[in-house]
Amino acid sequence: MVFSSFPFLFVFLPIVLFVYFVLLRKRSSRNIFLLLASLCFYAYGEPWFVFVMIASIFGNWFFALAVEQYREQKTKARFFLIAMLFFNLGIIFVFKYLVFVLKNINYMFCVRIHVPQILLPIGISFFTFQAISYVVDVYRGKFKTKEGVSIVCHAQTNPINVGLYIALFPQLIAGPIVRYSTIADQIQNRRETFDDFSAGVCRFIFGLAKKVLIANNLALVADYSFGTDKLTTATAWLGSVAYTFQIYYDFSGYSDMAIGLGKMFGFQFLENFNYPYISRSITEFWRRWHISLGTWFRDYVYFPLGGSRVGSKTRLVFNLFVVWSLTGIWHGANWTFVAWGLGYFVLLTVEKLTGFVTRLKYGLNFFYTLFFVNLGWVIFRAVNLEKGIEYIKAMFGMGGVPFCDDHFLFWFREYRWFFLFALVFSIPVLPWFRYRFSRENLFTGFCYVVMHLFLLVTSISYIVKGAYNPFIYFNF
Amino acid sequence: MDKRQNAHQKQFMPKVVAILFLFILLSPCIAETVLLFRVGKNFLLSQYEGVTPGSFMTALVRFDVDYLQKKVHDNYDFKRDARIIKDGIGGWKFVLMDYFGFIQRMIGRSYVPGGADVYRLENRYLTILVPEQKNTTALADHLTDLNHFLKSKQCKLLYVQLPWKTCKRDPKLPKGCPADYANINADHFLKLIRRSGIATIDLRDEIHKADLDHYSLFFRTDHHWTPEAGFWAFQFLVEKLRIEYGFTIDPVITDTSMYDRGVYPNLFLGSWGKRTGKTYIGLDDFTVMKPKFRTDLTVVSRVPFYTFRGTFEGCFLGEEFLEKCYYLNNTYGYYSHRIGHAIANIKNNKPSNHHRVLLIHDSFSHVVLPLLALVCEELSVIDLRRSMNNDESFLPEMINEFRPDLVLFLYSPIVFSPFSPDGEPCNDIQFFDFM
Repeated sequence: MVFSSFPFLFVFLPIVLFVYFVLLRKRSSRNIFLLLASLCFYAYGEPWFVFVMIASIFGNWFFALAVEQYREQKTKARFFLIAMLFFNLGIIFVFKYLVFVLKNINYMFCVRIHVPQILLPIGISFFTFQAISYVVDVYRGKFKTKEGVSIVCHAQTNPINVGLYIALFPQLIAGPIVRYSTIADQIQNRRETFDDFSAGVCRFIFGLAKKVLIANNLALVADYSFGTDKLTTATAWLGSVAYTFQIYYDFSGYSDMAIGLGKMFGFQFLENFNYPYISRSITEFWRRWHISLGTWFRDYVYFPLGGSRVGSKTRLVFNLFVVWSLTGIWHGANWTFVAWGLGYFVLLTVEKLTGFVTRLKYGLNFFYTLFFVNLGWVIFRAVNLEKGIEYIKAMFGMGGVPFCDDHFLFWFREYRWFFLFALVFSIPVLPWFRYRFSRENLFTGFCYVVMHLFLLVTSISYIVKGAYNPFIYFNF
Repeated sequence: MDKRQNAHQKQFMPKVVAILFLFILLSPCIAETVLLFRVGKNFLLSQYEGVTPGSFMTALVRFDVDYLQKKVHDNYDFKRDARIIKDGIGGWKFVLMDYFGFIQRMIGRSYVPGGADVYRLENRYLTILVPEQKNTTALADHLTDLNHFLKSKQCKLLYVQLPWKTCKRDPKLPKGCPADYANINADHFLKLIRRSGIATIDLRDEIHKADLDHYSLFFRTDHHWTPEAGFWAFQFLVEKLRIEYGFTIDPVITDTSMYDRGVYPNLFLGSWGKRTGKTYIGLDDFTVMKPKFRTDLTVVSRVPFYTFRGTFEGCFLGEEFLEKCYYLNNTYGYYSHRIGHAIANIKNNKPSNHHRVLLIHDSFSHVVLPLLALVCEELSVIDLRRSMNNDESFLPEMINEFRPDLVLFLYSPIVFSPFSPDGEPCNDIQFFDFM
C-alpha cells in the first residue's frame, strides 16, 4: 500500500484515525493498535514478508535486552551486539544481495551455482537499519545530542514498543530512518495535540502533491528518455533533469508524508531533506539529501572507524571509501549503485583533501555540484553500467547521436509546467513566503487554506486518474 | 525554533485545513458505509418480506433458520443494488475526473497518460496510438488459409478495411509524439492479402475519393466512427454487394430519407473522453436512426444464448444507452447492444434476396451490422474475441454449418495492435485466430 493510493487515503487512514483518536484513550492501547495497523499496512502489500518483519522485531527486542543486561560485561554485550549485526545484516543479505553475489560469482569464476528466485521485501533496508540503530543505541547507553542534551537509551521490555518503533507505518517502507534515541521517549510519552495534527496534515498534503503532481509526471519523461532507442543529446539532458527532479520530489514527498503522518500521531521525526539542489558542494549536498541515511552511516560506520579525526590521510580515504561503498550498495544490488556510491567517494575525497570547492566563485560551485549530482542520477537510474555510460555519452553528443529532434520538443512542451514548478520549489521559496507572510490576516489565511485544498484535491484527482505511481525508494 | 515560525505553527488556518482534510477523507468512507447499509437493508427486507427487523433479529439470535427460509423472496433485485453501490462509489470519482480534465485543459496538455495514453489531435479529436505490428505476415497467412478453405466450399471472401481515427493523409498528431502505426499496419496487411488474391475494399481510400471530411466521420471523444459514417459505409458496401456480388437489394433500405433521425446533443462521452474527463474536450452528439419501413427479424444467439423475433428496433437498439450517464454508459453500444459481441444468426423474415452472409467484425461494425441484416436473408455474426471456448476450429465448423455465400470481414486497424489500449500485451492473432 502506498500513501498516494485510494486504499490508503480513503480506507486505511480514516479507519486508523477514527479508531486511534475516537475509540482508544490509553497510551498502551493506542500503541498496540498502531502496531497492528502498521503490520496490516505492511501485510497488505507483502502478506508473507510481514513475518520477516515480526521476526526482526522479536529478534532485536531480545538482542537489545541482552545487550542492556550485560552492559557491564563488555565481552558478552559485544557478543550480542555482533550477533544482532549478523542477524540483521544476514536478513538483508539473503533477501537483497544473495542473488547478486551468486550471479557475479558465476560470471567471474565461470561456475554454475544455482541462483534462487528471491523476492525483495519492500522497505527491508529501512526497517533493518532502524533495528540496528535501536540495539546499537541501547549498547552505547548514554550519549549527547547535538543540542548537548544527554540521553540514556534503555531497552524496551515490551516488544510492542520495539515493534512500534521498527514497524510504524509512516516511515516503515521508505524512511526517514528514525533513530531510536530520537524517538525512545515519544513511544510512551508523546502528546497528540490538534496543533501537531493540523501541522501534520499540512505537511502530508505537501508531500502528497510533490509525489503525485511532480514526481509521478516527470517520471514519464525520465522513463521515455531512458527507454527510447532514439535518444538525442537534448532528450538525454531532458531525461536526466527529469529524473533528478523525480527522485527528489518522490523521495522528499514521501518523507514529508511520513513526517506529517508521524506528527498526526504525536511523533516528531527529524527532517530528511533540506533543499539539496541549492548545495554548493557535494559535502553540503549530502548534508541536505537523505539526511537520515547520511547521519546513520556517519554515526554507525564513519565515526566508529575514526571519521575525519584520524592520523593519516590514507586512513581518512579508507574510511570514506568504506562509507560510500556501503552507501552505494545499500541502495541496491547492482553495479550501478556501487559506481554511484564510489563516484561520491571520489568527489568527497577530492573536496576534503583539496578544499577546491571553497575557491570556486561566481556560482561555479553550485553548477559543479548540480552537474555531478545530475550525472550521478543517470548512473543511478540506468539499468546497468553500460547503459548508464551510453546515456552519459549521448548527453555530450558522443556516440553519433543527433542533437535534437521533435520528440524532445513534444516532451518538453507537454511537461514544461511540471519542470517549472519542480525548479521553483526545489529552492526555498515556500519557507521565504512563510517567513515573509507569517502574520496571519484574512487574506493570507484564505490563501493558505485554498492552496492546501487545491493541492489536496488536485492530487486526489490525479490518483483517481491513476497516474504512474510506484515509489522509487521502495526497492531499497 | 524561530518565534515567528513557532507562532505560525499555532495559527488557526492549519486547523481549518485539517478539518477540511478529514471531511474529504471521511466523506467517501461514510457515504459508502451508508450505501452498504441501505443495500443490506434492501436485501434483508426484500429477501425476508413480512419480517420486521425485530423478529429477524430474534430469529437470528435463536438460529431459527426455518423461520427465515420460509420468508425468502426470489425477486431480490441484485442489479438495482449493485448499481446503487457502483453509482455511489463512482459518483464522486467522476466529479474528480471532470476536475482532472479541466486541469489538463488549463495547462494545455495534448497528451494524457495513464492506463491508455490519450493524445489530442490538432483538431481537438482524441485518439490513442497503435503500436507497430511486426507479425502482419502471419496474420495475412491466416486469412489466406481461410480463403483457400472458403474456395473449397464455393464461398467468397471480402475483406473491408475500415478507417482509423487518424487519417493516413493528414494525421494531425501533436508534433513529436510517437508514431501511430494503425494505418501503416493496415497498409502492410492489405498489400499482403491482395498479393494472395483476396478481394479487398479500403474504405480509407473510398472516403478520400468521395471527398468526405475524414474527421467529421468520427466521434471526438471515442475511437469509433459516428452512426452517420457507419450508414455511409453501409450504403457503399451495399452498392458493392449489388454490383459485384449480385445481391438484389430493395433501394428503400439504403435510402437515407427512409430513416427517422434524431440527434441527442452532448450525450456521448467516448472511451478516451472517459479517460480524460468530460471537461477536457467536451461531449459528442449522438444520432439515432430508425427505419421508417417495416422490418421483421429473428435473432438466434449462441453466445449469449437467447432467441428473439421482432422489429429492427427491438432486435438491435438499446434505448437504455440513451440515458445521460457519461462515465457509466457506453452510448455507442446503442445500435447493437445485445448482438455487438455475440455469436448469432439473424434471419430476415422479409428478405429481398436469398443470400447468406457471415460477418466477422470488430466493434466498428456495431452501426453497420444491424443494417446489413436487412440486405440479406440470413446474416451470421461473430466477434472472434468471443469465439466459443476459444476453439480454434470453431469458425470452419460455423462455415460448414451455415454455408454462407459470402464471408465479409469488417475490420478497423485496431485489430492489428499487439497491445490493448491500456498497454497490456494482447493475443495479437485473436482477430485472425480461425483456422
